[in-house]
Amino acid sequence: MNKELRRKKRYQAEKRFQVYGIIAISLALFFVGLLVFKVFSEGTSAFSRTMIKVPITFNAEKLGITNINDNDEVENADYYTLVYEQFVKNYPYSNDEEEKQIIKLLSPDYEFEAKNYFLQNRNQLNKTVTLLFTASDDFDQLHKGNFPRDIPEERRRLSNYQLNIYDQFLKEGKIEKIFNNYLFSKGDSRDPELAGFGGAILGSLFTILICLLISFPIALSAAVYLEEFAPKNKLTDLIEININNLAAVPSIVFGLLGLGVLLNVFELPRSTALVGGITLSLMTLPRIIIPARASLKAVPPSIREGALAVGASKVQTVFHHVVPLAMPGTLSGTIIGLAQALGETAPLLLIGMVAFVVELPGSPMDPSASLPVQVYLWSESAERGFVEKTSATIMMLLGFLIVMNSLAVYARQKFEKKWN
Amino acid sequence: MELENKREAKVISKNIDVFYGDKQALFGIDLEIYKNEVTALIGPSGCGKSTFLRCINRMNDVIDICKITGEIEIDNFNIYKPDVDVVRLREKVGMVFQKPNPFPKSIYDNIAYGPSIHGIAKDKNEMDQIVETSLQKAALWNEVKDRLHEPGTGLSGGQQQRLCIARAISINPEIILMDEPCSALDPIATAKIEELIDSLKTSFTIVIVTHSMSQAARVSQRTGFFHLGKLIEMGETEKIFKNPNNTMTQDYITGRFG
Amino acid sequence: MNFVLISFILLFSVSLYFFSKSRIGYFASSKQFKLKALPKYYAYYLSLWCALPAFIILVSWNILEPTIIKNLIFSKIQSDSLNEISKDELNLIFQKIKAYYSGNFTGQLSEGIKAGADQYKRLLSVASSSKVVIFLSAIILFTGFALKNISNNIHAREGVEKIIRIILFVSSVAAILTTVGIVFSLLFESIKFFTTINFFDYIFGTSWSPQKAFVSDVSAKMSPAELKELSEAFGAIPLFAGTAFIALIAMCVAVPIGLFSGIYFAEYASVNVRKFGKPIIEILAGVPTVVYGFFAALTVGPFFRVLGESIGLEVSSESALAAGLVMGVMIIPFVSSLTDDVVNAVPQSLRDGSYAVGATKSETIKKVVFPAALPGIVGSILLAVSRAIGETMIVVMAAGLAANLTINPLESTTTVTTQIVMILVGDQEFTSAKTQAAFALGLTLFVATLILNFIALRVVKKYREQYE
Repeated sequence: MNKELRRKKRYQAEKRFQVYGIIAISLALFFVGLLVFKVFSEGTSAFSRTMIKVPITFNAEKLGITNINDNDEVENADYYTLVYEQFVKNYPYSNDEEEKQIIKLLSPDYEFEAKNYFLQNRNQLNKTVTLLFTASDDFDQLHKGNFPRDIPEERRRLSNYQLNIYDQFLKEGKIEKIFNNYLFSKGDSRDPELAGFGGAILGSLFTILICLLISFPIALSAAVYLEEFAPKNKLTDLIEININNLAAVPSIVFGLLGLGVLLNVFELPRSTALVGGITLSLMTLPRIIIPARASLKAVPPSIREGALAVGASKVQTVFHHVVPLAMPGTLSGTIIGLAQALGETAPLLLIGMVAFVVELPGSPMDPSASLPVQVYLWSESAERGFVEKTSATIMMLLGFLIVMNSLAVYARQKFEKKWN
Repeated sequence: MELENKREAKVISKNIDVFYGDKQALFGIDLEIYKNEVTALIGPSGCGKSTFLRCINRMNDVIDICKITGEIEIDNFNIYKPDVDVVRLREKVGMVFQKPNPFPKSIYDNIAYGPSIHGIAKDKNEMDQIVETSLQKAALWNEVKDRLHEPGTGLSGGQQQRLCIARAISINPEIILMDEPCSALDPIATAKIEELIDSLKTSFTIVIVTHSMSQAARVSQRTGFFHLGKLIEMGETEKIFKNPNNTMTQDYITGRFG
Repeated sequence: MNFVLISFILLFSVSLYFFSKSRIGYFASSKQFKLKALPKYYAYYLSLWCALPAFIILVSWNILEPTIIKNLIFSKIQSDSLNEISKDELNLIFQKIKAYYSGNFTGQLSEGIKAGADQYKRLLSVASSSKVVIFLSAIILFTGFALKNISNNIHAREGVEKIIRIILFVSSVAAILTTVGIVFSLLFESIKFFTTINFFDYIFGTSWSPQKAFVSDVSAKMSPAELKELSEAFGAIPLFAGTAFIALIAMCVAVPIGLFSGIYFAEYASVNVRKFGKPIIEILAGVPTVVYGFFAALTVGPFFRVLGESIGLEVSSESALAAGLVMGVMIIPFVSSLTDDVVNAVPQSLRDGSYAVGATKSETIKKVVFPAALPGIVGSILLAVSRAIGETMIVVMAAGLAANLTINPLESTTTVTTQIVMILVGDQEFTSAKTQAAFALGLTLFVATLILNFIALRVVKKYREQYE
């Protein structure tokens, strides 16, 4: 009986142990789910932009345009006052404070939006058209339902007066949601509604391109040398240990290397994708060498012997037969290494890629941000509008990473030969 | 003939089929194994003799793709009934493997492992006793009594295998299955194990799978010959080796194939 | 300029390749020798000799040029001036000259700077024209050299292969150069730091307040008392403690979850659970750390604060707990996949032995498989610890900035990596002890992770060999 009881307990322990395993896995899956849910639930609203419909009369007198064909005059006309005056007309106000509150519902870029429209539609002079203006961040967030309305006025970003205007506009059908193209086409901005990660995407692109151009050829050559040519001696042992350890060095140390050597000794330009790319390529190097060596090692010696037996030289054997066969694994390792580099932030902070850059970078020599750095920069900002933009940037970044990793898996599964 | 009457069937296999995925490995095996005897299973490699052995303590359960139909009765109890407790079964049916597989623990802990999980020993003294008797029964005690707390993996191959036998008998099973226990050992170590098997049969029922016909002839009372997943012939060892009924058995015994 | 030159070599060497490939047969017969290799090898030989040396010269020129020009300007400023000018002042003047030259100089303009800028401009133009001349002559010289070798009937394929082997070797040395670069850049600044700050004050000091270094900067002019005060501002113990503390919290999350899920995947999971569960968990390893930082700072931190408030606890919104927890989540997949690998490497025969004496699966795992896999698991946990202490973005975004020496997980602490980022982001002056401190911290971090990795890789390697 004692034994019976004991056996029962042992089976309970068995069950418990399995349950621990299931709990552990569920917890891990829960974290994945939470992360994805959090990012998506906060980020999707960033892809739309709230616009306010305003009838605008391009009054020649107000604009100060005497000759519509005079480019200088059209360029320098006073769109600011034009839109300002016609916008505040949309709602009754009794004092300066209220007037200010009305105009604050528009994004500060309204004059450029009016100007851009007019530059392309000059025949609208002295006519009235209904234009869509980007709403201010607070208004945008209110419309997207991200701001609670039922809290005391002093804790709200928008006053009761402004809420009334919103309700009125809503009733009149003056509010419209459009796809937020600014998000993709613009650089950074102090105003969330005008900020975009276009500059960051370009910056990331340049950085990764430079990283690829430097690290892939060097890593492949190093792997080929170590696997195929290197004599077994102290030096190659040292290189080998060195590569394994380098792969585990914290990324921030590479940032210190970039700062100390690339910026201070070689005086390369700060905050640029060039320096970012070089720094990341040093970090990526061992991460490509290791899988490249593994795939070279996986090519069976019979292939080498076969080539050598028909009189090919060692170099010919390696480059005609071994390297092509090892290519799928190497490429997949390279893509994964680059994906890691794409998500890397810390080293870029140290080499100054955290500058506030409004213009889109035109070349790797221009100051720029990168996607993860943009996440860091925006997450430090207090405005609610930046929270959704941060999440949207993360969605973009994760999207790139998923594409790259799937490519790596594809490269491996599609092209890799299985040796028996 | 007097002997025949005393014999008592310990294990009875009824129509056992085994499948690995969609490949059938055993075809309708029917046989009986008698108590306190050594039964040898022989046959060319891949004939299914090891597979059958692993059916007796349901070690095949460990392999996911393995499916078994039919019945095996131990003491008239079908071990393939759905609610059978494999842990209890294996407590009763011990096993020794082809390659010695001591745990990476001390010699003492290797033996004590089984009794401790089953709660056989009440205290440390009793455990010491079990370890000592098991090692003595396995004829290893004199060689290792001074270094019980050294790792079991440090022993020689033959000693490791005897350690594994000691581990198997530590929980006092009724049946011991041996899967080619000497195939990884040198002739001297093999001789020792064979001697040991002979002495163990008084307390245990032993089933041994071997590829060596001479070993089967030396240690067993009964022998079964397997070929391509079928039991070709089963009978008294002497008869199988001297005067088999089946020509295939004859050919194998005389070395014409295998 | 560089772009033009590089395109030029590329274009020239490629066309040289095709031209020579088609002409080498005539060339050989006109010189009356028989080709020893395929024509394409002669073409490779020529274009490699044409492009490589010129390219190397171009790169090294670009690396050296700024330093040389800087030193020339320095010596001019020095000779123009009557009294000794310190290195820092020289640097400052040089910065002004450069700013004036590129047209964004603001502030007081002196004659010296104007003259300096003129000289700077002159030097730049001299440098760039001599660069082109040297570059072109290198191309001509080395191509000529290669042609001569060919007409001496050299074995072209061997020549090419020799060059290829050299390129391969040099590439593999790049890894060593990277390490040398790291060590050099860290040591260089750290040594400067430790000449001002006592090493033991740094290692054992319990107060970290680097902002003090701004008050009085140039160590040479400091009184011993000031120096002592400065030295005491760089006690790194709070940073080490904070780093270790957050890493510990992270491991408390990652080790149990990672270990159990790794074991479950290896021993229990059905094929489908493995097929879908494993990649999903591994997503956690692919998520950039900045995303975790965002998650920790905007979701987990505030969540803990609200939770704490509701039960009457005061929780900092930058608590060590939030940062540690999120870091732990990040590390789960490392522990789980390494555990999975290591457990799978335990031979099946050991499990069979255990089942054969009637052990249940969990008993087998706990008493046989786990002890056998322990060295490998310890190795993988050490690797995970090294990741945790080197992790930057999560702690920068979610842990505090103030160096508190605390063991309360609800308070904020700071870490080595956070301080490095805080000190170095934005404008720095390279003479400040504060900036140098960041490099000293970097060196400490580098050495610590190096030791951890070294031990971990050894342990894992030993473990692998045991079962091979």
